[in-house]
Amino acid sequence: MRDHRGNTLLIEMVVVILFFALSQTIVLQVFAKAQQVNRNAEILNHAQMRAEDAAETLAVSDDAETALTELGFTLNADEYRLADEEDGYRLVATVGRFTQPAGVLTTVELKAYRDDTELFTLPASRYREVNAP
Amino acid sequence: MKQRNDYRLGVGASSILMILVVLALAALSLLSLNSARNNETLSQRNLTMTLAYYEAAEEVQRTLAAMDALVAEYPAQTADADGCNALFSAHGLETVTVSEGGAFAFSLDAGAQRALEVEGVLTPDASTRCTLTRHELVNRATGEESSLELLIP
Repeated sequence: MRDHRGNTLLIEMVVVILFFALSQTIVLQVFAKAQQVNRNAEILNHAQMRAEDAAETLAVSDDAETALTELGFTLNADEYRLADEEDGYRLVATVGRFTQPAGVLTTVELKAYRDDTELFTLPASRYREVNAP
Repeated sequence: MKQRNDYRLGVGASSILMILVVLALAALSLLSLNSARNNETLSQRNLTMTLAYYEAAEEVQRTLAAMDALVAEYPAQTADADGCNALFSAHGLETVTVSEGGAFAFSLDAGAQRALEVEGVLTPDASTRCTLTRHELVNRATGEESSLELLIP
């Protein structure tokens, strides 16, 4: 009688452990997915804040190239790049100038990438009058 | 007489315990995933609104460049408000309205029921032809104004 009860308990424990392991596999996958989604959102926020910071600085600076260099961007093949090693995103800034007799419109296109995926493109520009009498 | 206390795990107790633990963990994981998805949605919405604002701010600079080019090229026509409005309309700047004294104003859509309102003064003969006096993001839905003065001349 006692052995029979012990066997039942043992079988139950084995079944419980197996089912628990199976359910934990699924639960851990859900937790990992949640962490990944949170991490993606955090990286997007960081990249956006960095790009906004650059755009605000460019909106009040006379020289876009100098402003980008002071912000930590490095020139690489006509593009200014800023890589964040910790978060794994990078910002690429392309400076364009449209010169007219009355002034110069400087446009900067700030693109954020993570791996090879483009996260967003944020435009920044400033018009400056020249040749005023 | 010595009383003997014999504690034993009954059959089914471990199953009940496991069911409770699994249910609790499943609920926590789903709540965690839901919270993460909400965070992601909020980030995306914030990004969309920010990009819309910067696109509007860029359009403001392009409009100012076009206005300044016309003011520099046609100083006589832009001396009075009617001539200025006619000139701007003829060159695709219909959104810009110029009133007496050279005061101009225009508004651009910045997404999510917001508008970027710009005001300034045109002075064709002065050293600075175009002076901004207002560069403000306005909530169209509530009428509330949130100051975002980016360009203070």
